[in-house]
Formats: sequence, C-alpha cells, structure tokens
Amino acid sequence: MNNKEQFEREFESFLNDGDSRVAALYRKLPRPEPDAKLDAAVLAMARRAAAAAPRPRARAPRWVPALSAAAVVALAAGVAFRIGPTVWQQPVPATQKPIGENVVAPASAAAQMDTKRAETEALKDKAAPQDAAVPAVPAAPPAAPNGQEARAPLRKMEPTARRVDAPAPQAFPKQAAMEREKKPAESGAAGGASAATDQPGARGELDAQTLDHGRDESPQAAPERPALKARVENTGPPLPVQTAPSPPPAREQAVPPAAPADAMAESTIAAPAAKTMQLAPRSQDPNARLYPEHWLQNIRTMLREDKRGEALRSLAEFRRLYPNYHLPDDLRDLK
Amino acid sequence: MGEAYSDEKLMLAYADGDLRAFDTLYARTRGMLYRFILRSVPDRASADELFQETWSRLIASRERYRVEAKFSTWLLQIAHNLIIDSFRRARPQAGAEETETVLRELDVPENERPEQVLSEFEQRRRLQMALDGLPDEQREAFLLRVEGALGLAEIAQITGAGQETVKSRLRYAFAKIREKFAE
Repeated sequence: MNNKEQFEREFESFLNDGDSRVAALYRKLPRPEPDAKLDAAVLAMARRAAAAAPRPRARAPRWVPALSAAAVVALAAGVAFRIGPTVWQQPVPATQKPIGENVVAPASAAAQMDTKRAETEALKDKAAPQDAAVPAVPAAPPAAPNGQEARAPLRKMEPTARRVDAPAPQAFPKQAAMEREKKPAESGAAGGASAATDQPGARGELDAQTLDHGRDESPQAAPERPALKARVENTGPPLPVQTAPSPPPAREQAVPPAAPADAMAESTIAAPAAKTMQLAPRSQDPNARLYPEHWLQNIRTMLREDKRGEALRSLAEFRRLYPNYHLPDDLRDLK
Repeated sequence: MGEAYSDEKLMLAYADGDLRAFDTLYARTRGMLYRFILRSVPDRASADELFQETWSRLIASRERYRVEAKFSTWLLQIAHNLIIDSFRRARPQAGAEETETVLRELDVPENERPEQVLSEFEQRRRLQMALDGLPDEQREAFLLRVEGALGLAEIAQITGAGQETVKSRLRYAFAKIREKFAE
C-alpha cells in the first residue's frame, strides 16, 4: 500500500511538474545534439526557402478598398442613371413578333405603356379632335399584377403598334431630301447624285432599299427608341399620321408621312425612333403623306392651276406640320 | 532576436522572411527535437534523416503557421508523424504476442538479479535500455513529457489519442522504468 501510494505520488509529480526520480535520472542521460553538418544543412534549407519565397506584399492602406467600392458604386449608379430609364421603359419592339404572343410583359411595362397610351389619347384629342378616320386607341385597363394578366392589354395594343411602325423606313430618304433642299440654295451646281433620286426608277429602288433597311434596322434600333422618342417628342414638331381614306399608291404606302425637319436634322437615328410615335396630330390634307418637297411641288402645281385657295390651305397645313421647315423663296411669302 | 520573443513570435517572423528569427528558433529547439527523435528511432542515421525532414516540413509550411498551440507542440507533431511513417516503412507493427514478451522481460525486477550496486553510468545505461524496451506509444508519450515538457493535452494532440489514454501510457512507462531502479 505504501509502495502504491508512493508510486502515485511520484507519478503525479512526474505528470504535473516533470519532477521525479525517473525524470531526474533521464536528465542525467547524455544529451546528444545534431552535429554541425546537420545544423548547416537545416539552416541552408531555411535560407534557400526564404530567398525563393516572394517578399511579403506590402499591405495596401485600408482606405483603398473602401474607395474602390465607393467608386464602383458611383460608376454603377451613373450607368444606371444613363441607361436605366431606357431599359426600364423599353417597350417590346413592335416590328418583331406580335406583342403578347409568347412574351409575358411585366406589369410595370404594361403600366408604362398604358400611361403613354393615355397621353397619346389626350394629345390626339387635343390636336385633331375632329379626326374620325383613325380609330381611337382603346383605353387600357389598369396594370395587371402579374405577367399573365398583362398579356391582354398588350394584345390590344398590337394594331396600334403595327400602324405606327410604318414611318420607320423613311428616315434616310428624308434626310437626303432635306439635304437636297438645302444644297440648291447654297450652290446651284449641287444635285447630280441627289437629282438622280428624283427619277422615278431611282426612287423606286431607293424606296425598296429604304424599306429593307427599315426592316433590318428596326430590331437593333429598338433599345434606343424610348430615349430618342422622348427627345423627338420634346424637340420636334409632331409627326403626321396616315389618315387618307383611300389606299394610296404603292410607293406612297411604303413611304408614309415625313418627319419634321428639326427631327430629321437632329440625327439619322432619331427618325427610326419615330416609328413608335403616337402623338403626331393628323392632317386631312392628302399631301401630308408625301415628302415635304413633293408636297410643296403639289402646292406649286395648284398655284399654276389657279387653285390658289386650295394651295394656301395646303401651305398652311404644311406650315402647321413643319413649322421649322425652310420654305423655298417662291412659297415663303405666299399669303 | 533575444529571449524576450516567444517561439511562436519567432516562427511568425520567419514566416515573414526574417532569417534571424529562424536562427534563434532553431537554436532553442534543435536539441530537444533531436533527442526526441534519436530516442524514438533505432539508429542515429535515421534520427538525422528524420530531424532534417522535420525542419524541411516546417519550412515548407511556414506560411500556413497559425498560433493555435505552442510552437514545440507543432514541431513535435511533425516529428511524430514522420517517426510513425518511418516505423511503418521500417518494420511491421509489433503484434500483441511480441508486446507481451517485452512486458514480461521488463516485469522482472532488477533487484532480483544477482548484480552488484549500479554505478550512475550503469543506471543511465539501464534507463536507455528501459526506454528502448518500451512499446512505441509509451516511449513516445514518456519522451514528449520529459523531453518536450508537454502536458497531457498536448501529448494527446500530437499523438491523436485521448488524454486518459495518454495518461495510462505514461503510467505504464513510468512504472516500468521505475522498476528498473527499484531497490
């Protein structure tokens, strides 16, 4: 018992303090150490590793990540501010598949389109309340809470969207026409190439190209339209809308009414944006479907045929639709 | 790098590229590590090889070092793993019968043998023989305790055994060595 208790005491001392007769005897054992060669090998190994390793990177100040994050946020906000409204308010391109066929528009988009439609109605009523040739756009129901319900109003909009699609292809010929109008005034020598477009054959080719161009260009230009449309609405005069009761000739059907001069001069891209323009007042003058220069030519014809009253009415209508158009000298002072 | 710096700080300094820190750390721990290895393996050549390999492993993993335990615990754990690997490569594990034979031989009290009083030299020789005769787990636990000055928890961490198991191994080892010198 005494031996066992003594063993336990020694063992506890060995465990706790490392102190016991056995431990003391162990410490009396020879204390071998690695030889110098081994030491040198290890130290050389450590030096090689330290030399081979890349130097610890200098830590960047703490404000650098914070500043970077702030810059990214500011940049993102700027980009969102610039393109956000365009993306959010972007309507589905009307020249693609009929709206609502296989596209579920979000409720917010439907609501925006409803708002625009209401504005269009208001402007139409204000600008041409007597116009009964064009059916009124049906009042849109309130925004649907989900995409499934939003399909119905979008389908109802489809005919309107198709109708206002037509002006798109004429953007480039319109600008060419504007240039033709300006060039004769500046230099009489100009007009070789532009005069060629006045030939019937050339016009036909041009119209065909224009139509193709319009068809091809429309889907790509779609993302730009809302912003451009807003710009046209704000800066340019309203677009005339085709209202002729009888179907026009094939060429004129393909070339709907012209855009005002300001809108045309602003950008060649601005005219395609007018495809979705629904705010243009309508005109009862059949010449409103023509290019401005053709319209003016018809006015001259009326004057030659002693239809002065009709010519003056048509010219007044022309001035109403194209207030910024630079009229030729012979028509400018015509009263 | 003086004595004021702990082993852990020295290791962190070396991880950052301070070679003087490594020199100091190496000078502090080289003897302890070498003796632990030397008394765990059968020959000096193996001890030298394992010693160098231990430092090689430490140097290679210096950038991953975190102060989660004493530096000596980490160092001895590397050495322990290498020693275990060398045992597995060098010889088959001792079976239960072999272990029993060793224990029977160790159980014979030294004072029952017809020998005269032992000199100190003879005592050290017997201690060395007793250590050599211990099962690996017991010898390792004993060496970690007396050479590395580690506690039960640290030995358990290094060897991967429970603290009670470590305590039991130490108890057996202590008893066998003590019996060698029982009068």
